[in-house]
Amino acid sequence: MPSLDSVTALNASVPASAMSIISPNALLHAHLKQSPPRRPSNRNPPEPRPIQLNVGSLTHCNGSSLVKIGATTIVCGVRAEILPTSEIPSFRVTNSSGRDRTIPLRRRNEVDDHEEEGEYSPIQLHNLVVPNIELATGCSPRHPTNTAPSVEAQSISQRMLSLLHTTQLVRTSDLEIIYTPPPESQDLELGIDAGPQLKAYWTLYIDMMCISYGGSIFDAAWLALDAALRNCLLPKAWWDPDLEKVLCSDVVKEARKLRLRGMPVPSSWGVFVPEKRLLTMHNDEENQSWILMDPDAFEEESCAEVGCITVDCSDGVNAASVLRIEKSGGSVVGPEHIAEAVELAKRRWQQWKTVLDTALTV
Amino acid sequence: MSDRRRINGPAGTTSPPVFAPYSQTATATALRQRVRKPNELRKIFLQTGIVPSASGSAYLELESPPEPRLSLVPTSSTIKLSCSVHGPKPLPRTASFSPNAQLSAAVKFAPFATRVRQGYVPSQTEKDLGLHLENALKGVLLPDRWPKSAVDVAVTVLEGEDDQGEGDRFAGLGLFNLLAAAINVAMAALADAKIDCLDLLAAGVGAVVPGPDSKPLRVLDPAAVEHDDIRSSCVVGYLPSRDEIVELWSNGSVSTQNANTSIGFDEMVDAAIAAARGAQTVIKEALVESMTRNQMAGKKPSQGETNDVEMKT
Repeated sequence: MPSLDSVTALNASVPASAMSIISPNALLHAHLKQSPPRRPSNRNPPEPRPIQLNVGSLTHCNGSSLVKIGATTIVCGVRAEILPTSEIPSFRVTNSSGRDRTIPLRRRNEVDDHEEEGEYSPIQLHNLVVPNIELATGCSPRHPTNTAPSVEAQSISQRMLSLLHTTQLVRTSDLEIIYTPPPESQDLELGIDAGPQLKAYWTLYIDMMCISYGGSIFDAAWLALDAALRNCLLPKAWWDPDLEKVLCSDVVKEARKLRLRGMPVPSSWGVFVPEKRLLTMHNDEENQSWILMDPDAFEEESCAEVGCITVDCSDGVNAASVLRIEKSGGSVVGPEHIAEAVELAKRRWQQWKTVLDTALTV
Repeated sequence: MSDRRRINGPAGTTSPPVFAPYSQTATATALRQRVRKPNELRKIFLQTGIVPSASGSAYLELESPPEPRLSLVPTSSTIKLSCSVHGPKPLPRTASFSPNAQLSAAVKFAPFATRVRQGYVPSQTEKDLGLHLENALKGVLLPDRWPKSAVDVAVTVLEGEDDQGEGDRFAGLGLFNLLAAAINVAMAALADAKIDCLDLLAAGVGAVVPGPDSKPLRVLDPAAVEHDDIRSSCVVGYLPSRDEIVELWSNGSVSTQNANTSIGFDEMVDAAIAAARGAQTVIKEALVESMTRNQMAGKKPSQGETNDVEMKT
């Protein structure tokens, strides 16, 4: 009897907002046990959070975006810099520079899906696309400022670089700066070839700042990267043989957008398994678990088993490509759960496409 | 050179794009002149509560009039800052005993915040700004309220205001405008964290520029791209109700000869104080609005719309 009285007194004095700190597993279990199951953020288990997107806000960037998903806020800026081929150590002419370029200006919406990257893509070989995320901005109490990148920041950056290479989102031909000598400089007798020469590459520095940490950082960071690359404008660049360097035009009409391949969208999920102590107290069934899509920071800490599925439905919802499946921790998920998560990831792809089309047309 | 904790770029050095000279000459003549009155401030957008997991947070943006973007070389620049406050929190166990709260302030530039991209290595400018910001905030906090505690203030510069011409470093007027904005956004975040302060600290920038007939003219809230020549400028952190200056930083020179016709140092400081008073009204309005929003959010659970689930034991 005294223990029951003390528990009752404890319940009366503890505010409701403190339950997420005292016993997060019990709080999440109490919400999901309802019929129908709800989350503490008042969502259904398969429901992602709404996405807000702004593009083109930063003045100094070639492309920029701000993505806000629940309490997570990511600002992404893309800066394009020029890498002359003379700066590349042991640079050898690859097949890209031998391509026929009789048309000097490409159409803006030209899509050439037959254009191959080749076995040794210059983007990977020379690190032409450089994504980095910064979490040490005071975005949460666990990420203090002015520190070296944490393991989580390094992991997210590496995952984004790997996904950029796997999906081949950026085309090498968009980053090439080609110089075609005038025909009168061709002299067959002296053996001077007047073919097009690859003089420089554009290097895209993609930097992401996490302003607020609210869970599912990789999803928000990748969506910010995707929107910033679609907002990116590269100035018209040419090689000046007299100055021996690359010059650019500052006219906006002459700038061109990147022609990205497809649109991969990652969807993070977590599997919540209640503690055995809770099951014993409530006499519930033993093997109960829930799959939560787009977990927030509170749910991420309660799920021991997390994963991420990247899909691309650019060729139609019925022709979805599963580009990547990641999972870590736990022992609950089987093939049927993965198939269920893929279906939820397709819905997330559709949600992002709607948000992106709205933001880019404004 | 190579940072093993980050994804590095190409092995060779990349350089920012160089724009063709004939186009840049035409663009340079179109530099915007100041259309505001000498005592008119730029519009400030201030919002609190952007980081829910922080004790206090704020976002500040200096709005510039939208203009059609005809050139890839930006001719106008704004300031976009985000600030978060964590604390008061216990000091680490290894720290020595302190009867006062330990305030630490840091200013961090995003790599895309400047005209020429900077890397992730902390620069001397960030340390200078951090020290000045810390100095200003220490003048407004009551440290003996929280013994053995730490307060961390982090300001992230998403977009900085460049000085015209020099795109690779922050110096002079752009630095002062950035410090004033950082002090204002940090004060809003401290108030959002409900940390007791002496007053609502506000910062402003004043400058002396050549006016008509080449006589010196005092201006409030100068922008670097709007003035070809700036004789002197200064930034103050000011407590309006106490009429107290907690931070003062100036550069350039003003003449004290012919005191009847010239503008001296005191007049320039007065101009910066007037700019700080204007900024304080913006901070006050933002805090009142956020307080009203919190009160309205607090009333909803009592109407039966609570999402709490009763814990059964």
